[in-house]
Amino acid sequence: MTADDTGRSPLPPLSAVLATGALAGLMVVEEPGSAPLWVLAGVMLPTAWLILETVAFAGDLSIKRREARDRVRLAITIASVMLALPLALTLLFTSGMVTASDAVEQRALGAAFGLGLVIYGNWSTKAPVELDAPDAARQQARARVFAAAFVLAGLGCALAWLAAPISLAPWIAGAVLALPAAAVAFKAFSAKA
Amino acid sequence: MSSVFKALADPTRRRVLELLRDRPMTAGELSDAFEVSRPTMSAHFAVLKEAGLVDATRQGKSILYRIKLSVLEDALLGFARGFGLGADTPKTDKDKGDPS
Repeated sequence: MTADDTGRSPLPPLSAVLATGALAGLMVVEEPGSAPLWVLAGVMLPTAWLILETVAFAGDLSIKRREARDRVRLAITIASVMLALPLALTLLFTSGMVTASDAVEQRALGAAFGLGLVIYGNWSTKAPVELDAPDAARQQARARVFAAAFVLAGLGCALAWLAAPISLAPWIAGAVLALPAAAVAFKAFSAKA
Repeated sequence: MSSVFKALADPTRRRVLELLRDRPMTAGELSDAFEVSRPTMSAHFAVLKEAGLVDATRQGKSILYRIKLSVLEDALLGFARGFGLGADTPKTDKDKGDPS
């Protein structure tokens, strides 16, 4: 695959899925007992992406279809990064490269999840509103609210896991995560309205 | 990232982004909203596009601009506006209540 000059390059999603696949492969070696889980983590996104690229976005594409493909590429990149973060941390802990107590491991994984939400929220608005969208202003405003909710919740979640007492951290993080859940519901309902 | 700071440092470019936050606009519509020449506006559009803050799509004879701000870039835009980086924010026809 080569970068094309008419849309989002496939290199970032390709690099991201390859990195995630490599981490998942290392986890298979590290924990063969859970191999199906790690294999699933490694092949799920590349498979979905491959199917979409070859079936839905093959051949000459209209501008609208090309933009849809670009949105898929952005989503694959973000999803891979979100998957790679906890995979990398799990690998560090299970391989013994980093030794830490259970509490520290929990905090690190929780904070990584929060960071993943921040990354997703931050980049989700980089895809422009659809061409000839009938309510572009509303769509843009909705996307901004949605993205800001994810960024704030991600920061709150990471902060809760890093700073709150370990017995309370999951509860606080869970409560904070109600914010993006509400944002998703808001986006779904307002899209129908 | 430096291209983003460069793009946000100019009040005209910030105003363009604020207009695009409302809705996608053509190059002509945006240029008409400012009291500067079209070549100057084209240069501003080029800087914004280079920084990845806007998307430019040709539609027939016109170019449609759409905003592409991440949450962080949106926050930087807010800070830049709040601290008044560069000269005063230029008035647009929209601000002056001119419907043309």
